[in-house]
Formats: sequence, structure tokens, C-alpha cells
Amino acid sequence: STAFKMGYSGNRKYTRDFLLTFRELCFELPAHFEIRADISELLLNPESVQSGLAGDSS
Amino acid sequence: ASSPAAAAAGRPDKFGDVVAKHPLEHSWAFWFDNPSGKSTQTTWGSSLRHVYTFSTVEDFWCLFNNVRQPSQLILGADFYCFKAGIEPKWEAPKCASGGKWTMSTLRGSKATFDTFWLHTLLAMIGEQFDEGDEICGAVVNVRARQDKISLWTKTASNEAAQISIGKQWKEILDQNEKINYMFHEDAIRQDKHAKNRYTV
Repeated sequence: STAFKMGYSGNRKYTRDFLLTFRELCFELPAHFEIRADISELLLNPESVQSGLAGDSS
Repeated sequence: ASSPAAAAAGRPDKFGDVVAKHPLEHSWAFWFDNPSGKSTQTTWGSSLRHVYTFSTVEDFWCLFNNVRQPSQLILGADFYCFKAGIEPKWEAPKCASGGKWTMSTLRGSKATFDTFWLHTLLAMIGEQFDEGDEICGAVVNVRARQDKISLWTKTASNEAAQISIGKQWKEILDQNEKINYMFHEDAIRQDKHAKNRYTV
């Protein structure tokens, strides 16, 4: 059922399979990303490189 | 045509050209509700925090790949992805006349829970629902007894649209269990006694 529509219709519709091709390519937190200190530890994945930079590397 | 790798970071490719990211039809925003703040907050929703707004495929993954999966979130947490400009609250202007489809997963089926969440997000941002204008956003509620994922829509009274969305959602998640739709106004007025209006 993942490809019940075309990969990219030109109308900014994207199938799951198409979107998933970018999953392994985008790991860096956006340059201007800021997260409030009170939710940082609860939300950021401690196993990701970027959240380690956010102070949750212990 | 550019390679996904070159486009991924919006950085120059091997030829020195900056390749455009893939724009989404809508901008979307992640929100997070901090459960540890609720006990000290007197107003519901005051612990709700905007996390990040994105409008490209690449920026979605840059955020998603750095946040916890639903199964890794603390009990009580609510994690939202809503169209930019729509606050994930019942009383928000674009939600007030709406409702939600809800899918429950038993605690313990973590992989299913996480997959449902991801596939719901990808269907939303990829505009895979025929009635995309009806979609407000999705929320995952991490709870001790039963995790839930809900798909919020705009016009609860439009039964045909909601039924269609519910059926599509089940198809997208390859889910055969019955799911139910509740009007927000019923939930507000009747709280735990509110009844579902539609089932698919």
C-alpha cells in the first residue's frame, strides 16, 4: 500500500517511498534550530549526534 | 536533476551548485507537551511548546531524525505535528468545528507504534489524503495503558470527508482494526462520556 500513488506528481505530493529515500541523508539539526531547555532532554534523542551537542551526551 | 544526497542539506553539490530542497505543499510545525510541567500548571495547554516549523522534505527529516521515537518518549507526553498556523488545541479557530480519528496501540508494540506515527506524518506532509484541506495535524499520546495516535480534521460535520480520511488512514497504515471519530465539541462538553460519531 506504500505506493498507491505516484512518486511525485508535481503538485507537491510525495509518496512514502519517495520521502523515505531522504531519511538517511538528513541528520543535522537545522542551523537555526533552538529548543527550550525544559523539553530538550525529554524530546531530543540521546543517541543522535546532534542532541549530544545539545548537552545530553552523558 | 539532482541527487537526493546533494539536495539533502541544501548545500553545494560536486559542481558547486546549491540544490534546492524539496518543498512541501504546506508548512508544518512540531509541538511538544511536557508532562512534568502539568502538575504545576493551572491552565491546560500552558505546558505546550512549539518545537520547530518546517516546509521541506529535508528539514522534516533533519528534525525527525533527532527527536525520540514515540516509544522512547516519557509517559504522559504529547507530541504533535500540525499545519503551520494551527495551534493543536480544541479551541483553535481551525480546530473548533473539527474532530479526530484515533488509533490505539497496546503498550509493548513499540515498533508498530513508532511506524504508525512515522507513516501518518509522511502521509500528511506528502499530501496523500484526498481531502488534504481537511487535515489539521496529528498527535501521539504516550500513555501507560494504551498509546494513541490521532488525526485531527477540520470539519467534523462533513461525514463523507471524515469517513474517506479514516478509510485512507487505515489503508496507509495497513491497519484492519476499527477506528473511531469523535467531535471535539462532544469531547469538550461530555468529557469521558463523549461518544464516537463515526466508525470505519
